[in-house]
Amino acid sequence: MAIETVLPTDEEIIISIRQGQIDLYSHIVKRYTPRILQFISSRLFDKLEAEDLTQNVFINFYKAIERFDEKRPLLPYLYESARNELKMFYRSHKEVLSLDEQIMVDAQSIKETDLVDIEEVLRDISGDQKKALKLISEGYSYQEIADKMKKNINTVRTLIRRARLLLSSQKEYEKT
Amino acid sequence: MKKLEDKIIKKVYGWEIKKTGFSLFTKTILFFVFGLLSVFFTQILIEVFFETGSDNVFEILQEDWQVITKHGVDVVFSLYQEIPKSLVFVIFISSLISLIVLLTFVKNFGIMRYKVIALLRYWKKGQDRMTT
Repeated sequence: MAIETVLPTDEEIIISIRQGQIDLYSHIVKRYTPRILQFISSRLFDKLEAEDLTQNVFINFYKAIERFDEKRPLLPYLYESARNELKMFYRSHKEVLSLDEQIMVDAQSIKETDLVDIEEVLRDISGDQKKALKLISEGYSYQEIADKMKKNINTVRTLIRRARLLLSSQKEYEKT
Repeated sequence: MKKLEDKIIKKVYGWEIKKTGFSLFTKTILFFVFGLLSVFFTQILIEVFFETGSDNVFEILQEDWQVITKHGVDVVFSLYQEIPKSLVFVIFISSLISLIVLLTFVKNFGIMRYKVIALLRYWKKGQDRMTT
């Protein structure tokens, strides 16, 4: 006589895991790993990365199992999680231009005559505005500039805004 | 596929070991630290009681019921004035914390037991696999 083994449902497994029977998680892993791996592999051609993302999906689900509503179907949740993992993967592998590179390109494109122009424009703005602009170009935050200049942060904001307005108005004037 | 599944299970167990271990460790530490603190401060309180002679207020308990009802409130009031309140407060808080830790441990004992058994079984399985 053949012995029938009835596999527990997802709901039963999730409830049992919450009660401490964590070894039952292997049922979920065995049941859904092929589908999730295939889902990720169809969008990502690197096999190793696809396996890593599949691992993340199952580990994240395990971490969230206490909060998971066991009445919800599990597979759509896992697909959604896989989609999020893919999004995160693409975001982290987005090609970016480093800031240093950008500065180098900009510095090369500035001609000597431009530098003279900038100095002339800067001559028209007040000392405090110039100092604030210089500090912001060096990468200081508004709060740090306020601390350095011993001024209120709102005063610093106003100084920078006015200096920028002055610069842009001069630029417009030169164009006309 | 089997390899990937094993990897996932291994990572899940690794995470679970960390979580369960941390939970057990913190609960044990909290229980013993606050339990010992409450015992220590209770001892100090008893010493203070005997030094100041406040322990004689309990002699009323040996009296008749009528005497207790007549002077009980006065005795309690004088006891309240004599006890070092900050010390009692510390004892109360530390006992409360250790009690809460103990109750949460007792409440989750079944879950914890199953988890520890599953982790041990997995570890044993790994050991067996390594020897064969």
